[in-house]
Amino acid sequence: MSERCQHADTVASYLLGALADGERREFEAHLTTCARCREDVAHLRVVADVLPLAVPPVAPPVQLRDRLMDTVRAEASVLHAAGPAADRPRPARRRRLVPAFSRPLALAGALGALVLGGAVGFGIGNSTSGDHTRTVVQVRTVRAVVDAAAAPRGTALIVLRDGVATLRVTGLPAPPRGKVYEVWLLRRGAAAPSPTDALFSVSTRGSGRVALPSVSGVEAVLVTAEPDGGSNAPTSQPFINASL
Amino acid sequence: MSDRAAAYRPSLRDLADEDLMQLVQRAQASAFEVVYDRHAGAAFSLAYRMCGARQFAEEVVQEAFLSIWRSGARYDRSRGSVRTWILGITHHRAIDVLRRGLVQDRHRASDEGIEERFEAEERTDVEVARREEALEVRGALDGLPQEQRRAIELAYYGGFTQSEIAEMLGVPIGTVKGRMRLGMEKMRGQLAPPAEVLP
Repeated sequence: MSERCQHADTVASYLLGALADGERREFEAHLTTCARCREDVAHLRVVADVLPLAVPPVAPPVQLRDRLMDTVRAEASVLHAAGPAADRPRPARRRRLVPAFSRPLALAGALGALVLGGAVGFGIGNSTSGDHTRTVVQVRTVRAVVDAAAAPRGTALIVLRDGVATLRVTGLPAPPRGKVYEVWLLRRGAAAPSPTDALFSVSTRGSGRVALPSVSGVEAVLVTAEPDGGSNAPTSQPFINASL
Repeated sequence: MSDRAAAYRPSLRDLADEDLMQLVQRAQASAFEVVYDRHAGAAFSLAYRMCGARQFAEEVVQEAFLSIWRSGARYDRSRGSVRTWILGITHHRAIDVLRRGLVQDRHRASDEGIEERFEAEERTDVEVARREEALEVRGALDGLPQEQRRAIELAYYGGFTQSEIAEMLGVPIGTVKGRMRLGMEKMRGQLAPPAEVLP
């Protein structure tokens, strides 16, 4: 057997979850270089794996299942409606945001789609009522006005979820050749809209989404078609306008 | 689908966890429901043991299962059973709750004798086998020298760090690490072979 590593006693702490975050990261880095400790972890993991079984059985409340499955079914139905694109990985380059449906974003959109034009309590955060603690996510959606001449079947929705804003569009034509859609923020009191990094195109089905910068203090979100790479000032009239 | 074909189509409840997880990755809610029904009891029991209160246990289990639903693709069957994976996620979530200080009386959660218990029903052979396995693990834990058992319980069920345990027990941190290590070694010897979590 190889020599005992000086970190051997940390293996148990690691498996039992008894390391603080910094200690855990250090030990995980050590594991990448120490075969002896990796063997130890594999050997003792069996014990950590069965410790959950030693607790007294307690039945979960039916309401928990109901709440969870309501959320899951709602998210599943929208994911399915979004099609296979919903599982596509997000492109690495931000400025070429395109039919970018990472699953979490699809889920965020899913929640927004379910609560069109309204505010809803749905997921993260703690709201205790009676005996039950419910996890709640604050989601607010704002429906934008889409110029019918530019996009007769277009819809656009701003989804504000946990302070993060996303623009979700459907039924838009692809941007003209050499152009990209650009999002602008009109701040309160400002004479002209500010450019953003939020550039996007749409899928062949006309849908897409893009994460927005902070919309704190923003009066309206606008979208124009701009030359590839975006512009510093709008070169065309906004065809999407969402008043926040 | 014809009646004949339908007759041969296995029910989701006949599928192994690993096969269900493939369907969960494709956002099939009914497959997720089966996974939940199989493992929510063990997850809730663990969360309740750690947090000591229903409201926190519910929060932990809800967060754990939602993260499983939303990240089902991260399950790697080469690293263990679905049950072990789910219970590991639940354990991490419970530790998060405990370390965020949301549970005011952590000592209670880590002590024996939780007053409020709700026995789960035994409905299937698998559950009976699990109950027997639980007794075996409990026996191995109870068979440890008291100071080793205490260190393991405070760490795993109490969510305390090794530094916190050393302070609580008034012993050097190296002593705590040694007790946990020795205790786990002894349990490993008693549980093997085989020491596998039932599917």
